[in-house]
Amino acid sequence: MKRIKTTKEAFNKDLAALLDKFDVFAPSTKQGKLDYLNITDPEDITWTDDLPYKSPKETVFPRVEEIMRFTKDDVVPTANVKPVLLLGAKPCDIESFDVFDGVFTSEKGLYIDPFYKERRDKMLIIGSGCAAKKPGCFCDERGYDMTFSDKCDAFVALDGDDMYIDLITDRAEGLFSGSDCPPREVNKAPETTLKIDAHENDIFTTMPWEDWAMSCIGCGTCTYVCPTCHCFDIRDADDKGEVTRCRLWDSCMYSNFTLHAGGTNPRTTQAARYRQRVMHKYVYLRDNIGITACTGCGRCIRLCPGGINIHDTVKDIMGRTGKK
Amino acid sequence: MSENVNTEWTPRIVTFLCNWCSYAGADLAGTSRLQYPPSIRVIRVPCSGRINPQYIIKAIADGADGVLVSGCHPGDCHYLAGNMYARRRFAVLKRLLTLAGINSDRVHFTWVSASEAESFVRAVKEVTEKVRALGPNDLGGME
Amino acid sequence: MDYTAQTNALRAAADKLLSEGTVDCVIGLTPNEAVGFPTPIVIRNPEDAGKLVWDENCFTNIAVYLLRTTGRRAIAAKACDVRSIINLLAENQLKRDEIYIIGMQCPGMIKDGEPAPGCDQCPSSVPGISDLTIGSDGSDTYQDEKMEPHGENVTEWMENSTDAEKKERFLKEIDKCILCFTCRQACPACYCTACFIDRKADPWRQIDADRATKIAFHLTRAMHLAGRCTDCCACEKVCASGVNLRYLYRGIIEFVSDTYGFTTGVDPDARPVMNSFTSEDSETGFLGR
Repeated sequence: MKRIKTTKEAFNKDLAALLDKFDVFAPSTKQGKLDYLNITDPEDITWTDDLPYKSPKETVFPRVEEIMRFTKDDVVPTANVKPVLLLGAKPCDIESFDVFDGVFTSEKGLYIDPFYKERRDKMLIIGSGCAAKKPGCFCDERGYDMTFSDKCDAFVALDGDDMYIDLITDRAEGLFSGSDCPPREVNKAPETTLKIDAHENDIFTTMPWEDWAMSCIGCGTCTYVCPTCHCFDIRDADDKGEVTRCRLWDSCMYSNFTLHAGGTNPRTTQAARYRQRVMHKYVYLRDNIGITACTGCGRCIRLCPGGINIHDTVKDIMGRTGKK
Repeated sequence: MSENVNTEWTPRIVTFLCNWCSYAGADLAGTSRLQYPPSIRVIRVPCSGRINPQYIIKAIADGADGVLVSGCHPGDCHYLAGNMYARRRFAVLKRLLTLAGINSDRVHFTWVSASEAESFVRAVKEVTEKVRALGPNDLGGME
Repeated sequence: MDYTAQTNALRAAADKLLSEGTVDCVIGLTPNEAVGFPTPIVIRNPEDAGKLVWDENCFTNIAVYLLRTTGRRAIAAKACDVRSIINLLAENQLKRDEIYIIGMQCPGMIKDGEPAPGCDQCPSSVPGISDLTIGSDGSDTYQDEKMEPHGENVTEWMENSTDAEKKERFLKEIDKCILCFTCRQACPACYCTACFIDRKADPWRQIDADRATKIAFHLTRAMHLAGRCTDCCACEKVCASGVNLRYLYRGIIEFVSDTYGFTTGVDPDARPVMNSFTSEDSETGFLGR
């Protein structure tokens, strides 16, 4: 790993040159709240240690993604995907792409998703660190170092007007100019203390899901801001004989998420829906792809209007199952 | 069509007519050989009270140049009071569209009875002129 | 204001109601460090009464939980919650004898260091109806605390701005929306079991393009809330993206009040404004009028 030193001004200049080649997403307060926005001017970037309120999953997994367009006779070719440069991604958000890769492109998965794969392969991630935990953050308990992650292409650190860039992969070489300096000292990642070891059957019916989900109003905010929630729906939109097939985000918190065409709904209560969310993250994906799909970013905890806390729920489950 | 904005340009106006009065009024205008601009596209509904405001929002959002809604005169509703509820609904909808920045001259409401072919023609002419003055609807999803 | 006294009075009331079996549960708010303000809680045991809290950050409208619980329920409600409850009573969504309202006097709440959304237009610090009163000093009588509504006059703004300005404001808010429907879920007036936006079967209303759907959703929601919105701003308070379309709802409230002389959330026996009519209703804006 090589480290170079440059200035913010020079960095912005190098970045401006990349704007043609990439759709650049970076934390910005341009629309009010700090969020990963598609920026066209490097000056719009908000350099901060704060965590954006929404996850950056939209950059490779858009809220509405056109996957096919066709008429009665023909398939209309869709435009090529422009590569994404995700700048200033926080370590927890960088980790989240591991989960997406596991689900959409993994050897262990039964299916490789071509739309996600195309975007992901072209994507370039430049990370940046967090200074402190926000209320609700628990990335350390999930075993992630909040100051650094090497699962990206480069990592930047801002010190006044000086900027340090760690070049991690070959793809990041040559994008930014700067003078060499000694490599960064990487902290040892903390130990993972928050995880469920119990078997699915031990917790599915025995836990007090009703109590935990009592104040849930089924709004789905948790799934929309979550960096690893990836459930989707596919709908066709017909416009004057041309049909667009879209992939849209869905949420297991909605009552019609499991609604069958015949009218039955196997998941009848909000408690069952909340259970699905916790189990999917901490049990099912653990068993299927070997990753616990929660990065500890705490977004769902901070933004839940009902005050539901997945961290406390998992802690409670760990206590009740008697395992660490 | 939207390129030549001149007096020749004919707007497309989605028109909701109630089955019992206004549709019959439009019919009478036709059988009486009265002339009016070919700008309206008529959708027949059972009652003006049947018109979900969403239909009007959808028409405008999907690029209709204007919307005209016509029902029985208050007091003459075939279903006794459908148009009375519709009257409040339309008044509120008009205010809502104005608040959202959609020119209020694009959406019109009126009452036409089965015998008022002339006032139907007058309404179509007036609405067509007003919408023509505004030019084509650039909303098309408001982009 | 004495929030400690109010909290103590509330806890005592909840304890009494639950131990005497007057109610099955008490809906209130409990401290939540991660969120930064108290969040809803439903308690069923008298021992849990100590979990309830009342402070200057209790802006969450918990009337929505009355629709999600059954049995005899007590609710710690401030003026805006009670307006929502009155609207629900007027629409026959709740039975008055099943609801026990603990009226909390509230001089306006604080969110993120600023007055909470909606508080600037609040007409009264005192709930309209209640079964038990907890005044601002914790006693069982309301203190005299006048409220001065001072927020934006939307009708005035509407008359003084051009279509382009109005459109710009609307689209600016629309563009922030991520269609998560949290506003709908948190709204005490949005209780349809099948929302129009969820009915996938409607072939003419598809989730086709982002912006058109957002426009359709928000305008139709505003239309559905006409004469029913009580200006509690639950939607704005929970919006993760900071969408602020309150002025639309506010504009309709002003219009309904000016035109039909109706204010939502005042009289539980009044017929909802959009479900009634007079033969002299205004036709302003209609052709030829």
